[in-house]
Amino acid sequence: MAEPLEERFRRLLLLVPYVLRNNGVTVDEVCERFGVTRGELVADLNLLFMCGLPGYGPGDLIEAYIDGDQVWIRMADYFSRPMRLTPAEGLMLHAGGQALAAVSGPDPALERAMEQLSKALTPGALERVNVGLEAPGELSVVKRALEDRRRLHLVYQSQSKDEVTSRDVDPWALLLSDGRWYLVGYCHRVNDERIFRVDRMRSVVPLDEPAEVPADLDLSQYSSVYSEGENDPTVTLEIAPRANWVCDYYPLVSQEPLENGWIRIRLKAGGLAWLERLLLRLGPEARVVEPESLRERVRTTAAAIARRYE
Amino acid sequence: MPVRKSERLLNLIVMLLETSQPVTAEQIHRTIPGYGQDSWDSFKRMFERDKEELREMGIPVELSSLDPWDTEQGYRIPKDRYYLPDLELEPDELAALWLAAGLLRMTDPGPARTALMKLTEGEPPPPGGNLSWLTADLGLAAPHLSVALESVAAKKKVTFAYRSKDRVGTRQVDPYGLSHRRGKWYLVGRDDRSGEVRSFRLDRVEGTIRLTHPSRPGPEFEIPEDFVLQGYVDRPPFMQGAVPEKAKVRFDPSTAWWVERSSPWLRLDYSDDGSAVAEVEVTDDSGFVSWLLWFGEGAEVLEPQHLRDLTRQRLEAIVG
Repeated sequence: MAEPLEERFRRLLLLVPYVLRNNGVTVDEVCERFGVTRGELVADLNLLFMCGLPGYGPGDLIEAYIDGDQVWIRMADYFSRPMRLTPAEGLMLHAGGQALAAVSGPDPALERAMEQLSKALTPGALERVNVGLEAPGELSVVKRALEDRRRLHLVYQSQSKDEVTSRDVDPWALLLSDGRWYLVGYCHRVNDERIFRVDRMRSVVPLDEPAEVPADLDLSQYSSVYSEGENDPTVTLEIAPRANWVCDYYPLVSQEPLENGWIRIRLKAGGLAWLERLLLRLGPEARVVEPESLRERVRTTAAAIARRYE
Repeated sequence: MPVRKSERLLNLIVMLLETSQPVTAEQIHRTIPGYGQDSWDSFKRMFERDKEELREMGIPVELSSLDPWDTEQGYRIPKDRYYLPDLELEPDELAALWLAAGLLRMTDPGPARTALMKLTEGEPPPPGGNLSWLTADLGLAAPHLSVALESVAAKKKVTFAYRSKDRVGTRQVDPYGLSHRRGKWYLVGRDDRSGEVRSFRLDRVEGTIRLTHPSRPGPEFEIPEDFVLQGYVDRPPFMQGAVPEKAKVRFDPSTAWWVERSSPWLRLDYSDDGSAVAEVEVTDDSGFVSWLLWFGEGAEVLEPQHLRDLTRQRLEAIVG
């Protein structure tokens, strides 16, 4: 498939300043740095060859060529300095910096870098951006354990089952997803890999035992922290139009439209506690199709709470 | 043909960057290869699209007068807004930026990489600082983020189609700020229709976000001095707008710690048994009851009576 024009053009605007400041750089080096093949690089240079100052005569056009195994660009002084950051680029580093600060705590070098960064952008752009990350106190303990490869002892109140448990965990990785911090690790209570929400840790204490961390850990496999088990029961709900935000927030197995804007959704649920609260919250805007046991459970809880209001 | 277009855009940048005074549309039409053979109307259309594309890449094309009487206008790319200013980043500052970008390496690699390329002039990352055990997804792949940020920075009014509940309607907004919560990005601003400050989730915008007056220069509104960005997205909608009523809510011990963490805008008064009472500002009764029931058996509204009644009615409807 052909490379999108825009991407190619953006790359060109980065590549030209780089080569101009490093004239004579090797073809391999440029190709590796910009992720292009030799053929693509040649095509880029041929394109540059057609561009330059108005007049477009021999003294105006950019000179761009490969000599042996070296890349050269001349007659393009106006491209020798890099471009300002785009809003997206600036926001990216700013947000990444905020996430880093949440984990690492105050860091003067990072703060200075962020200040400098705002100078590289449209004035005022970042002042009115709120990344709003939580930094629960437990985060610094978890971070230190990851750095020192130490086992942790957790008192954990799970959201899905609403139960408090104590467990020893070998920390493997820390993830930020949907604005929440998660610890991935090996749980010695269930003898398996588990994901824990850092803000649901009621306490966390480093232990003396070293943690065992797999050498080939691939973080990309945790891109979705909702890892429903195959044996988890499937729940079918019908959702009113006013409550269709539910479809944006929870990973669904399937959804199909019904009459009057209602939607039938199916999802996997490891624990029913959070679903029960979701259904209490939605009230008349949701119906449980199955399992029957969930419908009964919600009804029982609703009756129990209602008694307090008599 | 794509190659012609890259060429044309590159030549346009060079011409507008290197000109000593603004150049008119006619001059551009006459000079730059790829525009010349087309009619004036089709040139105008191509030129508008090209300007828009450059703007999206962060390249500012400015329109200004060629004479004091404003009879003729011309375009240029101001050098001070095109080039990266010399930031003189110290090695430890660069290392911090590498880490910041590295956090997002898996979710949003493109812009993080190009930003570093510009800031580091292509130098490789410093050795050592590599948080291989840490990764972050900040939802930065959200649509419209760039144009939203730009409109916020330049204080330009925007127009877009927005899906709310099950309806789509056109909104005109003075964008005050951009806010992230739970992986979603929100544009916060004054909604023309209601006259109130609202938050709009970017992934519920249908089509595109357009500047309402794309060619009008300068800022188009002032942000009220008492506006605080923080509150608008963090606080649930039932606490926003209008004059609130105060409700008293009791949380039991297994819930109170969680409320304190997840709802930092509430002040909890703890009792010896670990339970806690908080005052909650309510502007939308039904929204409040939904929020309350989210805590299941862990929360009870103590007063006012009419919110207790409403809660009971909602529960009785579930019991059937």
